[in-house]
Amino acid sequence: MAKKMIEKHKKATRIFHWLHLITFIIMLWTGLSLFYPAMNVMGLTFGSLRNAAFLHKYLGFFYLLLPLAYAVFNFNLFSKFIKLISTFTPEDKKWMKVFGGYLAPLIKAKDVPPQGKINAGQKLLGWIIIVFSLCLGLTGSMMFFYASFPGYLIQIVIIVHVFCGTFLGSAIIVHFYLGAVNPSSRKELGTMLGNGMIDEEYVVKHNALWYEELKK
Amino acid sequence: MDRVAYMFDSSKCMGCRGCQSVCKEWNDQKTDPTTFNGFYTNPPTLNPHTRMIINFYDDFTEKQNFNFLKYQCFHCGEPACVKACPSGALFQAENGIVAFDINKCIACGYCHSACPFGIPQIGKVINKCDMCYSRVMEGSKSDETATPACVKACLGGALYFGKRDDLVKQGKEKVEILKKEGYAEANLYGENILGGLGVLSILKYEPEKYGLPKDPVFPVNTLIWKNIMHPLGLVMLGGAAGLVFLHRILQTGNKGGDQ
Repeated sequence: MAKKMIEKHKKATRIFHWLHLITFIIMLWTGLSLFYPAMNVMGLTFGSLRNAAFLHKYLGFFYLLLPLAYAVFNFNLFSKFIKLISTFTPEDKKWMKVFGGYLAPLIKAKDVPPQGKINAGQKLLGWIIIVFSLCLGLTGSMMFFYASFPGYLIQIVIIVHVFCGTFLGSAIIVHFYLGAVNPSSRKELGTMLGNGMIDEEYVVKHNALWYEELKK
Repeated sequence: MDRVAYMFDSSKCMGCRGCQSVCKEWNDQKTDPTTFNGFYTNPPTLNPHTRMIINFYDDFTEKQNFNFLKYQCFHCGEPACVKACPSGALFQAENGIVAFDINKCIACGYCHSACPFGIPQIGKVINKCDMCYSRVMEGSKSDETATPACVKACLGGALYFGKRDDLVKQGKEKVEILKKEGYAEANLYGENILGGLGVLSILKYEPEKYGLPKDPVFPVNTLIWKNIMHPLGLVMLGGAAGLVFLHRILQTGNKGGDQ
């Protein structure tokens, strides 16, 4: 008997996620090649460090404009998502306390509180990505037009930029691991990078509240 | 190797701008048409194809008289631009010259922002005074091809080139003479600031009047960026990667059941 499948992410969302994912990886890769002199060689993947810097500067605008375009053309999906990550329920608080049971040997969780379509960790990550990306975009734009600002301001902006960049990079490493590698949650990969479908059994276990909602 | 330097004596400069034109000529830089915005400095500021300018000042005294400042990279003893450069294009040579390799430059502009004077200009690549690095390193002493082009060209004898220690001594003597002549504010700019500048200026008036910062310091933000943010970034990225790696190892054999 074939498992009953549920669509978790719409096509527009999946395309947007793919594009933003590729952009982010290129930005992180070229960014690191510029940040650490020892990693300068990473820039050679684009021919030379100068090309990497050029790509980093101009692709940055695309990185900012892409979510904007998504928000404008798929306003319904976007506002639903923002509403979803803006509501922290008491269950979410409990979830955060046990880290969703993902740190099983460290923090034991008998019952992981039931979650909605996305869990508290994903909500938090949503905000981290939005806030840090905006920070990166603002500081990056200032660094692009560095000649229009006093030197000391650009020096501070560079510090903010490299902090946001490395922090977001670290967050994405964890995001990728939980979504694609970790045995108990890697099925999630297909919902974003595949056809968007996930089997019912998984939803019952991981997104119980959302399942209730769907049944209605 | 002894630090080399050149010294500009503003009391001898007559504003002919011979140094400025010979700088363009030797370094093969594009020239600009003259503009006039109410003052004689031309071009009005440094730009990506102008490494040095003579600044004109006519408002220091009530009775009108001209004062000049040769304005270009000052070749700091502790150059912030070299620290900030992410690609290794900027470097400080053994003899103290802060020079660059345009082939390595990625035009990020960090040097411009890190410089206490905001000197480096970036067009397609960086441009700034390199004290005629190729001349100093490879020229010959006998026909003065080992001195920077501007120093060789100076008609008024306002520019000196040599070992920095000698020039500092010479400059201090000149300042004493100027003080005796009645210029109470006379000073030698760049003796000790920023690790000792490689371009010394004998000024008749306070540095601020010439638009120079009196006590510029190495930008602390550049130190935070390079000495704190670099390891912090590695800790965060490495920490995240290590955490998930460890987590995966602890989950070996888990085929997707409960956790």
